[in-house]
Amino acid sequence: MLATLEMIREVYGGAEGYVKDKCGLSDDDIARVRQSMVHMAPLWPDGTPCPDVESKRPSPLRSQACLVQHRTMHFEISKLVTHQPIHETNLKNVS
Amino acid sequence: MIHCTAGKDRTGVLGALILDLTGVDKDTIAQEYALTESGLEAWRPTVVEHLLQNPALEGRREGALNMVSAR
Repeated sequence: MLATLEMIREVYGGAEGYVKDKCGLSDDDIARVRQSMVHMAPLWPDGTPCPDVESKRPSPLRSQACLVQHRTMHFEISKLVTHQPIHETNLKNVS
Repeated sequence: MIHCTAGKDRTGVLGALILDLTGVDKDTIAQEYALTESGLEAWRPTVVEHLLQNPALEGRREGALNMVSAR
């Protein structure tokens, strides 16, 4: 994945370059994606970051545990394609 | 919604593009992609055996294992 990201950076100028050149997204579209997906870490009213949070980078979209849960669920759903028995306990609501 | 089969490669690359677009650092992106390894762990042996039946792989287990990994 690191090599893939480096290639995307070198060949397309990062994800931004790729989605603009190859997918036809506008600056506006990109701004809207960022706006809806990035939640900046909270700051105190005077602008200093809350002590237990890194403020300079966007927080990950999901916690790691949540992502593993998602992927387990996807694995169970993929079994529908291969007609294998499903473990229903894995098909639970993911918050 | 992403149309994919294993939810690993097309999904993984698209997820990485979205994370890169929103400014996530490359190490975090690689870490998120690597979560697929644990998420698909139960699925891996079945798919490897199934893939080895494809003549294109010429019975090479390492090739099949590469196809189902997420690194």
